[in-house]
Amino acid sequence: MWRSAVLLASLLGCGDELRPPSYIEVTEIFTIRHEVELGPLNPERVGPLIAGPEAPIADVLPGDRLRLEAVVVDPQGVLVPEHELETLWLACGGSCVSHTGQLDLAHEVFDQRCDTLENYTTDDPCLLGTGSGAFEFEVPELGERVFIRAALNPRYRFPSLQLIAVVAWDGRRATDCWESRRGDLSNLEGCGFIHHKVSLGPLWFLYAYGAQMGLSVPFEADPATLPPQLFLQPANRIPRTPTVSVSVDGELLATGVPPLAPIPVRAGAMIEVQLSFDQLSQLFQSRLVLLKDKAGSAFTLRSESLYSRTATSGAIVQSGNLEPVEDDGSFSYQVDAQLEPGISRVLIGYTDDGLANDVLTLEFEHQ
Amino acid sequence: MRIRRRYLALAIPLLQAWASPAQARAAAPPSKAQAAERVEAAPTAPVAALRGRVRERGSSRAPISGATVIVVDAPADVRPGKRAEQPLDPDHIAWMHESQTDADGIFELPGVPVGALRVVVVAGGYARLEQWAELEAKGGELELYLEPDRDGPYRTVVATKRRSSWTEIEPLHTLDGRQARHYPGSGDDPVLAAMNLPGVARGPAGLGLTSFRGGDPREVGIYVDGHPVPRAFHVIPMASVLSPPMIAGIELSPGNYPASYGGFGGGLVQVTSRPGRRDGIHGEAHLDLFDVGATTEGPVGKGSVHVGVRRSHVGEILRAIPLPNLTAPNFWDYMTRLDHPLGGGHAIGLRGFGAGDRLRLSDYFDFRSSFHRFDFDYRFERGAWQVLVSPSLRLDHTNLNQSSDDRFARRKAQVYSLRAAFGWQALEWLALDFGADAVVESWRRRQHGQLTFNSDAGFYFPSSPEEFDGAQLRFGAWLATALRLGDWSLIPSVRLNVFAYGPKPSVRVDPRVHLRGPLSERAQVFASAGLYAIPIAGAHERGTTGPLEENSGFGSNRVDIPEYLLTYFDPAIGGESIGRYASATTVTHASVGFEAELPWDVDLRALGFFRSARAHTPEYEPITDDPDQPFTGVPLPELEYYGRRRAMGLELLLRRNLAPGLLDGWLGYTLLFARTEDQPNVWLPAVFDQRHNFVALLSVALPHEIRVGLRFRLGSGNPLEPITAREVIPLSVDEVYYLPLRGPRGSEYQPLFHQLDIRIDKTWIRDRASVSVYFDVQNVYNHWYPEIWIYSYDWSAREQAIGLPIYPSLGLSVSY
Repeated sequence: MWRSAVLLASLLGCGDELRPPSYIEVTEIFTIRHEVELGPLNPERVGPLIAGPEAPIADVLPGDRLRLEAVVVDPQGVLVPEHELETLWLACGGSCVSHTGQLDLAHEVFDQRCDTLENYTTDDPCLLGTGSGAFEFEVPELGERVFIRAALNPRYRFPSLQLIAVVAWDGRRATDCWESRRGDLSNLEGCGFIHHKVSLGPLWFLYAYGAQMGLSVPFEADPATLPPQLFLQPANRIPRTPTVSVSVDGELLATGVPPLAPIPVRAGAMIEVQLSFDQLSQLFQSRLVLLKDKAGSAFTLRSESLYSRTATSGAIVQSGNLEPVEDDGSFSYQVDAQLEPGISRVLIGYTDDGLANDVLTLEFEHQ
Repeated sequence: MRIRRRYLALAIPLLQAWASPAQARAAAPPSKAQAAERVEAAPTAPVAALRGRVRERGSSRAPISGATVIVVDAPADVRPGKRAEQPLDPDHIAWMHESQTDADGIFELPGVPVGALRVVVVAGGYARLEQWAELEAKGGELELYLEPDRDGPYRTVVATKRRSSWTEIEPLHTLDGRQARHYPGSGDDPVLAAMNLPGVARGPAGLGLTSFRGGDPREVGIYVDGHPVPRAFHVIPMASVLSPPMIAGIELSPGNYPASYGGFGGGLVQVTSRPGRRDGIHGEAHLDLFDVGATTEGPVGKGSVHVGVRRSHVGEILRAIPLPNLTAPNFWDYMTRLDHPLGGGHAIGLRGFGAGDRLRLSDYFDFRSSFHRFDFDYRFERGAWQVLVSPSLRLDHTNLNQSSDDRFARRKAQVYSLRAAFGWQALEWLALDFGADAVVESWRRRQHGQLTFNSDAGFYFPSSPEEFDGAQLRFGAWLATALRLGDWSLIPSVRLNVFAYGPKPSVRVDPRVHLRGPLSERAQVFASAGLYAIPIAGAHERGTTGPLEENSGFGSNRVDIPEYLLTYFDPAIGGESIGRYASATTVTHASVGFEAELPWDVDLRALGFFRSARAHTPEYEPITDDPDQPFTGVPLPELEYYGRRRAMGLELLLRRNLAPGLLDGWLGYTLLFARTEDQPNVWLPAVFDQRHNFVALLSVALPHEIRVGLRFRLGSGNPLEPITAREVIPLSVDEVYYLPLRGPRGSEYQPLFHQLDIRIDKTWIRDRASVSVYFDVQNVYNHWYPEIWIYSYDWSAREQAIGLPIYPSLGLSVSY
């Protein structure tokens, strides 16, 4: 009967096969990077420099200066320079996603600049400001609800600042993008929107600080009774750029810490990129965590995990397993069977479970 | 003898001319006592009585009255029962007897010579029958079957007798149930065929969609035999909830429906089931790739019974195909009706009617929905009075299981409906129609494990078990009069509505008026205007969901499901006012047009229409201590706003009916402008704002019982909410969610739609039964129309589309 066609049609499609979601089809926001300039609280959190050259700190405390950078990539895989971007930043004050799935961005709270608020804290949703591709602001005092999400949601181990970035390129104004985003959502070409979280910490110092301020901390033990070693926990740092080993059709062609020279490939080639993070520096990123079955009296050292995802451009598409890789994993790619001379780029973004992240780029040259 | 034979030579052609199509209907059927009998010769051979009945050939087997039966001598070596290959030669007959059939098709000829006979039967509208027979000395009986003359101007008309009050406004569109089954592209379903009429929006992929004049399909009243049903089609609307052989007729009123109905601003659909026939046991059985069904009908005392059942098997067929994530629908429906006259103008009827659906997607979800309805009718019609009193009870049950038994939603409801209608022809120029109807729904919902969002945690948590119950009432009382002013009729009416959906009932009064009169001998003008109050019950659908989501996954990609598919086709559970807010508003309908009879039995209708709904914000009793209140201090989203809605346009219909002639069907065109106010002072195109809609539906009867039909539809696409950007939301360190941002509805439209469907029917007619086979090809030239787009996972690229491909299908039915 003809009606069966309706069901069968649900299985059919036409047109070209879609490339993997990691392929860069249009200019897009890949991620937001952040770095921290220490403020007056807990200067000892820098920790030992045993692991080598200092990597930027990625946890924040009240009074720190936070620098945010939008990483925008064009369809050729080239990072759009900071000066060609315009950004507008919002503090959500709590979760950036409400029970309807989306915060009411049209609400008037987002018309008010954060630095004009009385008793501005991390609980306040407001407009942080505008900038080029990078933006800086001072982290406010802790608010009442800073620990609630961490207590309720096991997926969020760390309290965090939750931000929304409006990014404009190709000559668009970020304020125009923002107005359209709050309005009828038309005319959004050249606009991008991304949520970003920045961890507050180090965690144990944060708990003690919060308890001292009279805030509710998410465990029963009195912070004053915690072992002092906990407060020596250093701040989380941006993971060091990993060493990458690039094999093309099974042959190792390049290894080292990016940036690397362009790697030659031919049509139809299979590429594998193996990541190797610095073990020593990662060791010193391990954290003391409270064992759940003990009432604030037992702790364990948990090593930091790293998660990487990739994006490709030009003649290269991701192949094989498309999921993010954990720690020292690898990505597989394939070069198009038909290609013109040029350069294709691969981006790899890596994030630790403290929400510190960075990006590396690999270039592949095809004749 | 020679003189008599000369007269014989003249008599037979004269008899045939006398029984011409022009006179066949006019001739009154004689009774048995009055049956004409002529004996043209006095044979010396033994004689006997010959009796018999003349019927129409095929599943109808209707008796034919007024048929002329001529019996003459025949050679001894003829084969009784076989057709005579050579026509009768009047110059070579020895004797002749003639009779006419009575109202029951019976004839009687005493004194017919025993032996071989030639029987000739002539009746207007039927092919001439010449057949051999053998008469024995003890007498004989014949059953004779005539084939309808399909090439002649006289045809059997499928008539539907339906009660109508003197004041009732005729529905804008009426389709005969049997006739509409043959239309291509409708899967033998007359309700789906009705969706081809002007004013009806095109449904995606040919699915049933009752959106009239760009309106909301949920605001259309769906009635079967005078009582409401939850839906006109099964959950996946590929078939109506009533088996096609059970349907007598469909009436569509896109607007300006009579005062005897109310509470719906989007129009009215009335489906009438067919009572059983009393002229014998009849029935139909059908089988196709989609479903199997059977009906049986026949006399019961002075009344009749009609029973029909149907069950789909497409789910079993699809489950046999090893494809993952396959949606496997199954449905069933049934109806039993008993009609019995009590004499003196009184009659009663009983009906049992039900339909059910099941939709399963592997272990992901299991959705079941069904309803069972039981009606009683009491009718009285005599003299100046018509009375109908009809109570009904409907039991609804819906069940949704998702992923595991811990997550479910269940809803049960009892719907009590009562209709009492009275018609009184008070004076020759004045008729009154008044009555009342009420629908009371008592429901209970139980759900568990439905995911709700906790913004403090930033995470979805399953809800604890919840149970809700409630009741709602819709009541109406009406008074209508019909004033005849010469050739003009004026029907003013008023309806009082009471809607009790929340703590405070709403009362609304609807005045309506209809005017009709002649422009000329073959043309009429008509105009209607009125108010139609509707309840607004804000349904808090927390925790209920169906299998579809706006941004559903499709493998490693995303599928962009249009808003209307989610709203109108997602088999979810909902509908009651949990949030305790309810109100009412009013929709204004107006139309003016004319109808004309053109040559060649073609009817033309042109009308302009206007519809406008007032805005209303429901009164709300806030729920306190809502755990979903975001801690940021941003308030809850504004309550659902029922905004203003406006539609206007033009409908043209050029139509030729099935009977008489070789060609029937229609050409229909709709020009539509429909807007809605989704937010105060923000006007957008309505969801089904299809600017142009043209349908050519034609059916041609060819020789040898072959019928060919085609349907061509050309129409504008629906307004879309195009994806203009996306928002990147990292859910965790290893998971990113991409939220598509959509521009306002109507900033982009679907492309122009066009599709050609063809259907071929071949019927073999035997004396007591007929067998039909049909071959139906949808989308003959395989035009791939993008009903649904597939995007990349991050919504950055759109490449694939889902649409209806060319698809042939086959069906078989046997009628007796």
